Amino acid sequence: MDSKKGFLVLAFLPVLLTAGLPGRAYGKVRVVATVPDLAFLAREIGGDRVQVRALARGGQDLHAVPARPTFLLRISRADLFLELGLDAEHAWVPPLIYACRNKKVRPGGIGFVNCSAGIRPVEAPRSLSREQAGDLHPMGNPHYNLDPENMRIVARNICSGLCRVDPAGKAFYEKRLAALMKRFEVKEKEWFRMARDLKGLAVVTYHLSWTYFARRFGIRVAGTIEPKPGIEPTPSHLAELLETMKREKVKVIIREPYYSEKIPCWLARKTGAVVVTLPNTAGWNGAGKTWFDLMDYILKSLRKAVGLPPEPPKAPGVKKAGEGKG
Amino acid sequence: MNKWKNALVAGVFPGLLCLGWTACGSARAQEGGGKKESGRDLERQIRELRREIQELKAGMERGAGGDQAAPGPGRAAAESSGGAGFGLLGRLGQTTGFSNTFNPAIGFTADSLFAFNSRHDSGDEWNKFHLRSAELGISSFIDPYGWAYAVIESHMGEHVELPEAAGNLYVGPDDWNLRLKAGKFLTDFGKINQVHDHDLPFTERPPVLEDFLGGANIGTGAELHQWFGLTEDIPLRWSLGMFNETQGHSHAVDAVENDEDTSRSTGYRGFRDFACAGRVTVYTELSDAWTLQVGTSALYQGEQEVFRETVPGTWRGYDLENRLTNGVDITLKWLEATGGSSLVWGTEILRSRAHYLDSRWNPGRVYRDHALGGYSYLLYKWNQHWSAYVMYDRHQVPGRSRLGRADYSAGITWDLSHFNRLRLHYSYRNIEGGEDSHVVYLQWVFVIGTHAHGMDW
Repeated sequence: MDSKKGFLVLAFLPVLLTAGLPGRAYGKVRVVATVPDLAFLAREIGGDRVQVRALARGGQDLHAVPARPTFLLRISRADLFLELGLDAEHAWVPPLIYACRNKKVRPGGIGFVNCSAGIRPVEAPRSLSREQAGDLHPMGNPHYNLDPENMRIVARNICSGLCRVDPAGKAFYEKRLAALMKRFEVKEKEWFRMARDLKGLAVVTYHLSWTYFARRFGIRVAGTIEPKPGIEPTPSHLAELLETMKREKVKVIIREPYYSEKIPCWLARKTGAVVVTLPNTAGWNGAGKTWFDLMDYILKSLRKAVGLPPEPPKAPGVKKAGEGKG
Repeated sequence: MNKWKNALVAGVFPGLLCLGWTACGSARAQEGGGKKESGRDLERQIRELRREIQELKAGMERGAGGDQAAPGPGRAAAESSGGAGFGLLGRLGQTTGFSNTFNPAIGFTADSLFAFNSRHDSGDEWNKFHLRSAELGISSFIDPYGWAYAVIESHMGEHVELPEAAGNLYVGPDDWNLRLKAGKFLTDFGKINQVHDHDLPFTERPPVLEDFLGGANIGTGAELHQWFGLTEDIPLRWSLGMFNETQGHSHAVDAVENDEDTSRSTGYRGFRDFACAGRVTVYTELSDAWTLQVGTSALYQGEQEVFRETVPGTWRGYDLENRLTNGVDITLKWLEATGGSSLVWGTEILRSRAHYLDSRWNPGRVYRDHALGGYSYLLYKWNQHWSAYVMYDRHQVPGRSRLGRADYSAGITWDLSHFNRLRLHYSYRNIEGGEDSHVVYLQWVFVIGTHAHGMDW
């Protein structure tokens, strides 16, 4: 029995030593965002009043982020939790939030922000069957973060969330939101100017993550390498896609960094199209740190891929958008 | 169809009015130049909403023609502005007396394989197809305080059993993160004991776990879990469980059955005294790409009757005075920046110490049985669909501790999707005093319905 008692004491020792330790207080609103895009907006709106951390890394596949135990700690200490929603993070966020026991950031709590609120989703599945896709999103396509109009809505949602958890900073956040909206306006003009020459461009994407972007900037998605989201391509699907690409004169193949280069390169060899590696979330190496940088990078890369200069010649009197904080 | 139109009009126009009202409210709150920008944003939003209303109306008119008979969720998706499953019908109220809204989540997993063994005397189980396991899992919240799950399983298409049925209850203040688990479940011992066989990154559970724990170790009792932060970025988790008994639960193709239970060869089951299991593990991010987890576990089993294999093929009953199995595990992971490829190195070392009384054959005589062993594997995933591994396992077989066993394995996995997996596995088995053998498995695992994984730590 002695060894049994010793075992019990040993097992409880860590609890006895540490269970009573209080969490650290920083005096700032602790914001946890699932993706860097949301973290960027929270930083822009929250300024010095917030401490923001993103869980997923830039350019990472949203549907397959490994849930690390360190995420538990971050969420358990958060005052505000931001998620893309529309089931984008369904594989890893719900169990984390449930396990954290932080009432503030659970759905319905004061600090929970579903950033997709107010966004009109597209491509909702016609039926809830896995025959439809491997990555099935019942609410619709969750990759709305590549559309500036959607990100304006997200910014407002984040601002509302910050005002809820830190009412004293309401005026501060709203002022910064207004400044951010101005930056949006300037940047959007710039992006639409860059996209003008890309209107009607036919592209093939690996995954169905470019619908919102394409709709906003007048680009046409002629097909996807995945026959259904989350399903690896079959030879027959690739043969069909090859025909489509030739028929539709597809010039660009968009591949997210986490997908293999093999199939896009094979298609490019067969059709003369150009493979462009583009992340669908901010913070990926090479695409800059912020969401504005990401949009710049995407549009410049697409222009380069079709043989245009990265930026169109400036119209007289047009100023470049400032990169400083608003 | 008019009903739909009315519902749409009733739902969307008040929404539009509310938006307008909110718009006015927010606009008033803005100061100076902010007012203009905010007003422009809201105008843009209203324009978008109007366009959406037009689209919805057009869609409904189209739907009134040919799509009327489309049943089920597809119809709901067409009706919905938010996606499948959230249709207007659902929002308007209960429409059936037989609602399945509160049914638990149900998933079914089938693990089938072809098993080849190069030894001619390896037994009937080899060189044939098997439905190794068919598993029905159900899970749901009990109420706001807890959740429960159960697993009903058939091994080799024959025995139907209930390996797990347990409830989880959060106890104490929320920030204690203290959870009580009770029922029958996989004990929290080591890194992979709680992973079901079909979810393992390799086809066979490492042989050291088969021989030391009887496969996956299951207990009927209660277990207390807690996690907290040692620092801002280092979480620690511990658990302590007490069980009436713990028993081995194996899906090994050559698992030997005995009278007492369904599936294990080494006899570490049917325990009649309390058993205790505990684990402490710490996790840290070394960098954005590298993570490290270190854990230590112990399993104490009290007095019981066990069967020891004194010489190969000969079993004899003994009274086990006690057995303590300790384990140390370490897992180092590297995840490429975008998560496309990853590398995992995992190692687990186990030690088993047991005291037996041979009261039937040699009263008063005590046997001590010490055994040591472990496994180590390297798993490389080069994209979402393909991965490969190598594993080395070496241990002394408890009960025959002078005899050693070594297994060298390799395998390649093709994940056709998250729910559909093919794997080719090869093992070279070298057992002291026995003939070497080559084992090959071709495994297919598929899942239908819900399939959830817990946190991997």
